[in-house]
Amino acid sequence: MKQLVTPAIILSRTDYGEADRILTLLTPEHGKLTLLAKGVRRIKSKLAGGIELFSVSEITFIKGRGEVGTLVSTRLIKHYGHIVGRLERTMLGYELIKQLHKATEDEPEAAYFTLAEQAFEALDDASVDSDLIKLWFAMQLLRLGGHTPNLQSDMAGNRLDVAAVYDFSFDNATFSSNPRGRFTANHIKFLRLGFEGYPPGALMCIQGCRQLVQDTAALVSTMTATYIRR
Amino acid sequence: MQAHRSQVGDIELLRSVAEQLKTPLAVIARQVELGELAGDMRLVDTAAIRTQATTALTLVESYLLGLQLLYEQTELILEPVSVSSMLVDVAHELESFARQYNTRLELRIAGRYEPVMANHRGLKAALLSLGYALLEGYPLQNHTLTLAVHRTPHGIVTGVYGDYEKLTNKQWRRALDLQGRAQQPFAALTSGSGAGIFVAQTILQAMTTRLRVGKHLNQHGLATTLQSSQQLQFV
Amino acid sequence: MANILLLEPDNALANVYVKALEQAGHNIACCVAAEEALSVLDDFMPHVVVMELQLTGHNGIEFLHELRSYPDSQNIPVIVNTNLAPAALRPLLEVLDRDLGVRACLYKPRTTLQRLMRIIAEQARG
Repeated sequence: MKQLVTPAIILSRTDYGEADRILTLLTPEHGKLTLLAKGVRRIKSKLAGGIELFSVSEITFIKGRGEVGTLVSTRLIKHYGHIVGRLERTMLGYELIKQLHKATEDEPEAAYFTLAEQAFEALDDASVDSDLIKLWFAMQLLRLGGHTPNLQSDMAGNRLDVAAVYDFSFDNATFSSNPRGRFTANHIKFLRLGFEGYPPGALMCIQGCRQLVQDTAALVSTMTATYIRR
Repeated sequence: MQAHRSQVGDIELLRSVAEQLKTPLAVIARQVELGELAGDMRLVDTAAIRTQATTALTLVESYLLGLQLLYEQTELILEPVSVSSMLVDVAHELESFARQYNTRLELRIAGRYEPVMANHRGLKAALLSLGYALLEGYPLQNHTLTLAVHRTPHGIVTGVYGDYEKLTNKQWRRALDLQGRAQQPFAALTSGSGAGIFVAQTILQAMTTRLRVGKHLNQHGLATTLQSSQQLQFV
Repeated sequence: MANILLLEPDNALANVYVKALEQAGHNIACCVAAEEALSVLDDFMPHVVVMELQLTGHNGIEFLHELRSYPDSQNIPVIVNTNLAPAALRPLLEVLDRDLGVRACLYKPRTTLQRLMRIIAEQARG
């Protein structure tokens, strides 16, 4: 049987029988894989080696006749070790993996693998704010799911005005002009960069980033709750 | 040389020290409670109480000394110091603490080393603080922590080393950045705030040197480079 | 009497907890790190896990996720006894409770042995 080699990121792992584990992995070219890691005894399987969480590994596997293939070998390429040094980052990392797992129940594109890598990079970097990573990640899930809000024109079809103030309509995922609105050009610019896929490190450089994160969090989380599978 | 430190740096170090003091104080409180609960004070490990109290006091004193050396330059008297003798002293003081943490202390001071120019009190406090921090945080039982000195082209290097996985400069720089801001700035080394490590760094900075990630034989740890005294050469 | 897995990175604190728990008639397996604790589970199935979140190397959150990935340890009650300040712990509480099966979160510096033992006994009774 042909052995295939690919980079992979672990999304979940569960025990299977006495000595085996079932791993769910995300890969760039083969989408989501469910693989049986045979004979990986508990002592060896946990928290070490090529199947660690918050890692990118190179795996060799054999496709199964059914849904479950077999893991042949792993080699750790990169472990984002700093994530586990801070509890709230570890917790956030697990939350993001869980969200990714859910969001990729259907055949995921390679972009989801890239998203996971970028998320790990950001979590690993102490200078990137946790709230920003959470918001940014939600934006990427929306973007990859085809649910980017309209950040170019308002409800009336006019280009968004740099001097105007807006409210956001969730029904249309569009901004509408409102003198008492909460969103300014800065908010919209921030959202544009986020939804265009700029990494969190780049968004951190925007002046007033922390406040912008706070101001736009509710908008993004409401959209996420509406459109992204939980 | 007037040391430059921000107020933020001082607050972070204080926070780190305050966090680290939780453990020895908790040990003391729980030990006493153990005796009270059982109605038998013989159950209380008085040696443990004494050791933990000494550790806590050493941390506080070293922290204060670090600040004093940084901000009151008149206190920074540099003198010829024998590193080998100092390591023997430090090992002696760390011994009971090491026993409490099931760690064997080893000294590697083979060879003759000329004295280095250092503040005696400061260097000892730095090595003690470092030693306590690495002993307390050491995750493995029945292992060895090594106090060592060796010569390099840059000077005489002395530090504390253990069976850690490789420590990197990146981890160290990140730890310095996170200290006082993250609960565990150096999680690879210690479960606590690692205050002793940063107190050691503060003291050494006052002496115009600092801690770096280092390797001694097959062990990794933190060490500092000191310059030998030109005035005195032991024969 | 119950089997207790104690995951406490500070040896001096662990010694006092072990003594207190043994006095109360429990069997204790004491570990300083996550990997060690997971190894112990192969041979010692605890009725209750008492653990610090801040560990050297892999942290308590990782340990809990690993613990819950094994069918035979999915439902073991976990008591977190941590140095993490309550304000820092608060954001984690919901996930600790909902996803990781943590039954109680205690602030270690302020938790007396008496209180800890009472909570352990409650959890062990189920």
